[in-house]
Amino acid sequence: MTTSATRPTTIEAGSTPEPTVARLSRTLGSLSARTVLLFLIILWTIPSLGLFITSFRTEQDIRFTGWWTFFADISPLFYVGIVIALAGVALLWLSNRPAGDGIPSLVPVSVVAIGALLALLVAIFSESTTFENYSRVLSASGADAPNMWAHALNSLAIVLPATVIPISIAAFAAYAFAWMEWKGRDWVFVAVVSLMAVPLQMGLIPLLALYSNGAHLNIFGFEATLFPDLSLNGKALSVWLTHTGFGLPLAIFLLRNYMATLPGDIIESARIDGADHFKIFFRLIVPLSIPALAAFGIFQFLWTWNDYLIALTFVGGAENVAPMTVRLANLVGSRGQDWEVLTAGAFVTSLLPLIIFFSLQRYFVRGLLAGSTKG
Amino acid sequence: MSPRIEEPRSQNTTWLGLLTQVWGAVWAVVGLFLIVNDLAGLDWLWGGTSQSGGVGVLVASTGAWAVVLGFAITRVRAWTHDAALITYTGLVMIGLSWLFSFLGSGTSLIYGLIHLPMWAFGLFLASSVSVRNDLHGVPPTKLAKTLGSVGAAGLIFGLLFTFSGEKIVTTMVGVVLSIAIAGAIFVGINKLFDLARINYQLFMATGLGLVGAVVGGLVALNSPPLGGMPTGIVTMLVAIGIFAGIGWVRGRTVPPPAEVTKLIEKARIAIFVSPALIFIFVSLVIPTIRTVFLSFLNKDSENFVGFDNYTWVFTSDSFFSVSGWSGIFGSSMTLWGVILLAAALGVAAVYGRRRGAMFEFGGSLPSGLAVVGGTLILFAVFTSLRGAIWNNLWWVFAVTVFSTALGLLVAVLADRVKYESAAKALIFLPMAISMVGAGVIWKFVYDFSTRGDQVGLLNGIWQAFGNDPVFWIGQRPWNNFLLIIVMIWIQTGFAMVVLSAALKGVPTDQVEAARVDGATEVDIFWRVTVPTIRSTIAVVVTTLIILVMKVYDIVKVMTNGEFGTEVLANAMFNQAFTFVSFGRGSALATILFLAVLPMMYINIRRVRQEQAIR
Repeated sequence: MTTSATRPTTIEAGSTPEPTVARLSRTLGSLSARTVLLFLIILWTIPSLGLFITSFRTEQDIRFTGWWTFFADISPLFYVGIVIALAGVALLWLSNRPAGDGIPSLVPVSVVAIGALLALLVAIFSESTTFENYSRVLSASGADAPNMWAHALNSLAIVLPATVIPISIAAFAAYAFAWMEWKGRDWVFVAVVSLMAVPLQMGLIPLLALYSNGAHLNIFGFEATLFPDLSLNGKALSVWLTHTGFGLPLAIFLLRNYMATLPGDIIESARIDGADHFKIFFRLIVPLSIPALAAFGIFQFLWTWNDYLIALTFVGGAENVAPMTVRLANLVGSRGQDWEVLTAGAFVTSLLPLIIFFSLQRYFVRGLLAGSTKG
Repeated sequence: MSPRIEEPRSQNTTWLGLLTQVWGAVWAVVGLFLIVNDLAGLDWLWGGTSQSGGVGVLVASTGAWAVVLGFAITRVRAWTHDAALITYTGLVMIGLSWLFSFLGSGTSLIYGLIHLPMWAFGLFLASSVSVRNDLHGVPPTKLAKTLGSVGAAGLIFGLLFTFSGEKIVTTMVGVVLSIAIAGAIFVGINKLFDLARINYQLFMATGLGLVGAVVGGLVALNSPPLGGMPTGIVTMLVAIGIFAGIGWVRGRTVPPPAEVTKLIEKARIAIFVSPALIFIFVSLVIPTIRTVFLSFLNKDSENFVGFDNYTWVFTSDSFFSVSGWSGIFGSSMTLWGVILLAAALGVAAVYGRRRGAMFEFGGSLPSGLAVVGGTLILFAVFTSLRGAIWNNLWWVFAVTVFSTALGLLVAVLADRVKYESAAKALIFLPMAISMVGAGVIWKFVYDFSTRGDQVGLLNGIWQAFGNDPVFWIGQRPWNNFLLIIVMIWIQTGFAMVVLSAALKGVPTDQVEAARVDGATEVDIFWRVTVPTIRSTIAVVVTTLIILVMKVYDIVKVMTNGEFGTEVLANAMFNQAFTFVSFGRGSALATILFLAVLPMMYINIRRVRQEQAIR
């Protein structure tokens, strides 16, 4: 099959019936494609699944048998439930097929629900299932540290301001870059964007010095203080400020790109009506940019929640401020082989980002795209 | 506007509104009382033990909300009724939780469930949302959904709050306060420049007075305290006085209006941009310059040592060793790589002749062969040469190539199945997990135990094939690749999402035309899809390179750089903070920065190009 064959320029797609051989090969191709996709999905899910199952096993089980033995040891009823649920899925698929209206009928859905419920109940009440690990991680505070709830709270206390502050600052700057005319605007924007490439490890030592000693200038032996020593080290504020600084280039980049796509004639007519920048920003730009603002908010939320390096540097030593990631990493360090604690801990740490991600997935994806697929 | 606003006023609603106002006012006062109680450190009411300040804020705000609601009700708006109901529920909840905090003192779950001031907060939020939605005529189902989700959020907050004290509320109050202060400054400066049009002299005096406050503050910071006198305030006041005086005198001659307008315009731009620029300058620009400077100083940053730190990095075997170079040529991977590359060249030549060009690499066979061959050769290089710098390069190369390729593969495959979003969500899932969490997950997969059965999945599979268990994390040099796999696992989701969106933008008529021409799916992929999304692929690749260059968390959690898996970022952190050698740490950071610099250049060029298009 060559593409160089001459053809009339207007052929309506699908007007000629496809030959059987081509259709067969297409079906085969799609079948192998499905297999590859399914394989990749399973490959990608297994590590998390192993973690999840392990977190519900007893200490003895974890230490002496692999988590996959869970499937061998469990009562056959579990598989009965799974088979019922799968049958329900098949039923759903069959019943949806011809009509294609997408409204699932009650019967197959309830079959799926019954099967899943059965499997779930069997798994929960199986004697090898335990919730001990979670209660240990969550409530029991060790001799060395406060419990995980306290660290979860620390995480929130760090993440919320570290998300809100950069968004509000970046929105103003993004507006100035997109809709204000000033000398050197493009160059400053390019410089800001290029700073995205600065590894944040560069900033840690100087910022640490700034936060713990203030800024002093030594000119010919005369020492001048530019910034007082606020001893911010070990306080959440230092983490907020650091996240703000490092998050700004990306925030400005994404928001500016989004704002630049807003229709210019609305803004122009508002200006003719006598609205100043301040008014245009709050009445027009901010409401119209809500999707981009939300997207960056989610992005920054996930990134600050999952951050470890910045938190370790500035509040790593302060148990009452340190977020969950620091605690989890400490667990790995001190109890590297206690998988019952580690697995439950890792799952607890990931819970909130997973919820956020799955519920707000659409905005998040849109946000990633706001800056990257343009032009 | 909703038509319901036009409803006639009735006696009933007036009463309800008045009642709500009084009720809300009472609670607002109680809340203020609690706040004062907490701030003053007194222990009326509460015994001084717990969250009176936080609860006070909640109570006061809910009360204030009720007052507003009351006003609204008196103006007859039907929607306010359910909002009022919800607010009442919230107030009752607060009362209950308050009551129970007297009774209980532990934090058992039952107690926690009852003691939910934050629950009330959630309901309060929900009522605001419902009111807003109702105004805009949102259908009741959506209303219920919002109520439910906001209530659930409130419940989660409540649980956290109950289990861990008042910190979250203090934080929230802190955030709200700082935002309010920043907003007040912002609005104030804006208003100040509005003043320039009305009363230029006053504007000059106030503006220069503010400058004087800053100057006075700086002077005060650097002057020794005078016996017992608060120097700072006096200095500031004097400076403010002098500067304001100058402003008052200078402001007598009012410039023409056009110039004032220009001044205001300039000031607006500065107000919009400067907060961001100051932050970026302090946390990115200055540190960069300073780190480069520190890298030329010794351990305690006292003496200038020239390039000693850099020499140390490049002569130390743990960072940069080329002693294993002969291994490159002894490796079978090199052999296979060269064979595959030759084959790719051959196939490309055949393809090229068909199309009248020297070589033609667009096609899955030649490009696939070339990529696999090149990868093999580079892997031979990276497994032979040791040191953190080589490891970093291996990371960058492998993660970028594999994540982009797999991401593209998944994006293409998922595009044609029904369960597309579910498939993509599962692949993307690792992105939501922290790198520390991912490190734990994979450490478990690679686990090796000296006693009993193996619990790590990899060893389990390995044993199933009849082999002896292996201590995977310690197997140099391939343990590096085991760590790299973790990053590939995470970043494939990112590549997939971005590329998938680009795929949706490939014009369907081109694909259809090619299909009608009889092109196979593979042909379409290489000749239509890939060229169309080429710029997006470039974005993914540059982003990944920048990101992976700085890899830290995974290595830290899984090996902490042991067993020859050191990378630059981890080494830098250890040098600076564990060995307290700022000179060496800074040198490593600078090397990292220099390595990212080319990517920076590409980034800049891309942005300039985009602007040229616009």
